[in-house]
Amino acid sequence: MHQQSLIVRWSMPITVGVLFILSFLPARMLKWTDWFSAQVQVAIVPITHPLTIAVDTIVPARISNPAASERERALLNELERTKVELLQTREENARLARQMDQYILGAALSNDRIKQATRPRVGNLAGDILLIRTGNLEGLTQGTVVVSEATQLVGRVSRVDRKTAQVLPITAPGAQPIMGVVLLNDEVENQVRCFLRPTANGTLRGEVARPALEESLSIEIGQEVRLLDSQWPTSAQMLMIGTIERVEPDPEQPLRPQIVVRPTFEDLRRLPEVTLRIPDTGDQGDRP
Amino acid sequence: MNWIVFILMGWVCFGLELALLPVFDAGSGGVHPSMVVPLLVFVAINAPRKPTLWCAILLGIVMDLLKPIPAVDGGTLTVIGPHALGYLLGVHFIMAVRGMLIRRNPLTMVVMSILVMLIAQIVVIAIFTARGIGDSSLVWDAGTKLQQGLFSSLYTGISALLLSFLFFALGPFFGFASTVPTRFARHI
Repeated sequence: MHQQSLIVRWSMPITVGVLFILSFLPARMLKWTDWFSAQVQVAIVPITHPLTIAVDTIVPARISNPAASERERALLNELERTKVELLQTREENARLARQMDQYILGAALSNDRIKQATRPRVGNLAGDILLIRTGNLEGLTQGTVVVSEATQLVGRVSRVDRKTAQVLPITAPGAQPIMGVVLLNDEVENQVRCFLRPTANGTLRGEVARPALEESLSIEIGQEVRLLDSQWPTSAQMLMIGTIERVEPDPEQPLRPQIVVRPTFEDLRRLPEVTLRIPDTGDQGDRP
Repeated sequence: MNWIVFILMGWVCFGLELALLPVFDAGSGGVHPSMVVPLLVFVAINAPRKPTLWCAILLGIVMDLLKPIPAVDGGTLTVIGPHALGYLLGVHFIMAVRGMLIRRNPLTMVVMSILVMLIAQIVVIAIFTARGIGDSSLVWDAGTKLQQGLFSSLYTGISALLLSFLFFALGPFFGFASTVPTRFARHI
């Protein structure tokens, strides 16, 4: 009896002490918390998913062209897919031309192949993270590229367990800056590099390198910005980041205007489903 | 206190908080109301001391598990403790003043929720900022977080006002014993 009361008496101070220690544990000693986090997420999904569906029904998320019909949207998606393929091919041609020299020098080449899987968003976590119903059984790993409607870059998988995956959108405040290119027109050579950071209001902002020397080409609202960042997989290059929403001069750097880019889907946190671009680790013999 | 009702309500509140997060956090500025803090305040105002403290720890740990922090390597990190300690301190504040509170008044819920949320946010920000001194693996800006925390606390007042009517209606199911001394009201 006395022993039990002692445990009860000390349980609270011990718990507070343990919580205090856990709060300051180094990051490398906190991997085990992922398992508990995954269990809590699984437990919370049965309530968040129906509520998310209800919320999305009552307050529908806005899309880039709400007036477009289902058929028009399908055609636009097809057009966009073709455009990405064209740009990727052009970029690949340019890259291959550069790599010819590396072939001669014996440099190794990597050739990414991907398989795509579309999975629903079952909820959101704090920090703008999307919770997706999928798991590492599908070959998903941290860093897997996530897109929407085939070409709109959403972000990367930040954590994955057996049943769920967390996706950190490119617009999340905690997301890493990305490099992109502004397409001044349809010619692949008429593009300028930009370095974009999330602004915490659903857009990305950054400075643009000096525009092309041709006076006729300039950075304008509505121009497309696409990914071109060596930190991302080759298969993700030239995916759509968004379109330029604002162009602002930088008084300190007159030759480097600031641009604000908004993804084509207005709020990446409210996508009903996302497409995961999973690296295909199939046998080499499968390759054409 | 009826723990099953509390856990059920906690589950619903976490679901509401996460489901409504993208809608209320307009523009992903990190400012959004908490649905969990009003529940904690409701329990803290009515329940005995010990169960209240355990409720704070329980809700805080779940909140910690549902709030991964982005890391510089592109992943996320779950740190258990900051919210639990923050809620615990917030609940201690209510313990200190609850004798002077009018318990069944929505405005009490509003003011206490704002203050508890603010206290909890300050504790969380202090812990993560202190962590950052020796471990820079997290993407963390204390100034921005403090700003977001302040506005989120005010925002929580609105959710507390709405939820207070639900909690008052469900009050009998929580099974609170009327042992909390109060200056302005008779025991129910």
